[in-house]
Amino acid sequence: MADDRIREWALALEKTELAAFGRARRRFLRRPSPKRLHALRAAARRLRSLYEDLLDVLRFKQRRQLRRLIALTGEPRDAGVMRRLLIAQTDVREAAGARHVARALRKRQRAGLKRVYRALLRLQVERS
Amino acid sequence: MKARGIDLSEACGVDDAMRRIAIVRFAEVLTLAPALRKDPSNALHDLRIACKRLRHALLRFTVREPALLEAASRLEQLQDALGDWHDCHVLLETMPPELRATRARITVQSEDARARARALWSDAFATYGPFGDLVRFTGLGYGLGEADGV
Repeated sequence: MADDRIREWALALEKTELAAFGRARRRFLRRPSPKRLHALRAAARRLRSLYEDLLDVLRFKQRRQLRRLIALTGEPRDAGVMRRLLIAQTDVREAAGARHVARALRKRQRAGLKRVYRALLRLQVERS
Repeated sequence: MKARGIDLSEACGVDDAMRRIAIVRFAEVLTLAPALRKDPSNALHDLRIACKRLRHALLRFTVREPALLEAASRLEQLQDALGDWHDCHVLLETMPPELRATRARITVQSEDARARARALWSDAFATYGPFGDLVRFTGLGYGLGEADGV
């Protein structure tokens, strides 16, 4: 069992990270967008890494849900980034073929954003 | 890659807990760093995740140990380069093979990103380099210079 000073420090860190996650969650739910998704994903990952580092000290009940949410945010994020990269790197002679792929990626990104939105509505993160 | 568990039951105070966490997370990064030189893409992806974990931990510690901020910034650059490599890699896997010229351009970009990551890593261990304080804080990584960085 870690000493009280460590527990106190860990709880303060948890409070900060949970507040950041809560803000990102509210912003995304208000208006889902790729930019807000990025902020949400970053906050969720920081929160997860805090619990990984302080597994001995903090007990987090919604670990599985958080892990699932992070996995869900990966798909629209990847699709968006790949689409931008593809558009930037497309050779002019292959523009038609690349447009087809870019369109499919856009579709994936939109569907992914919807899935994240639905999952976020269900997720309630509480302190340990 | 699953994060290694950290035993804090014997830690004496917050500074000691921070050091123990940094040691484990930095050790994960050091173990995976040879992937920058070799080819296995899974290991490179794991290295990116390990860099991210270490950076998150260091950023939390900078309130008490501001000297670690420089290492965190370098890890962010390294993570960005590895992220660019990863994005190219994933895109190449999903792209149809007939887009040959586009694929070639993305492959070049992917190699550039990897070379950038390699340079950032090697330079981090130089004298007065950004990992200096991290090496002193954890006691790991002494003697890793540009020659044997990767």
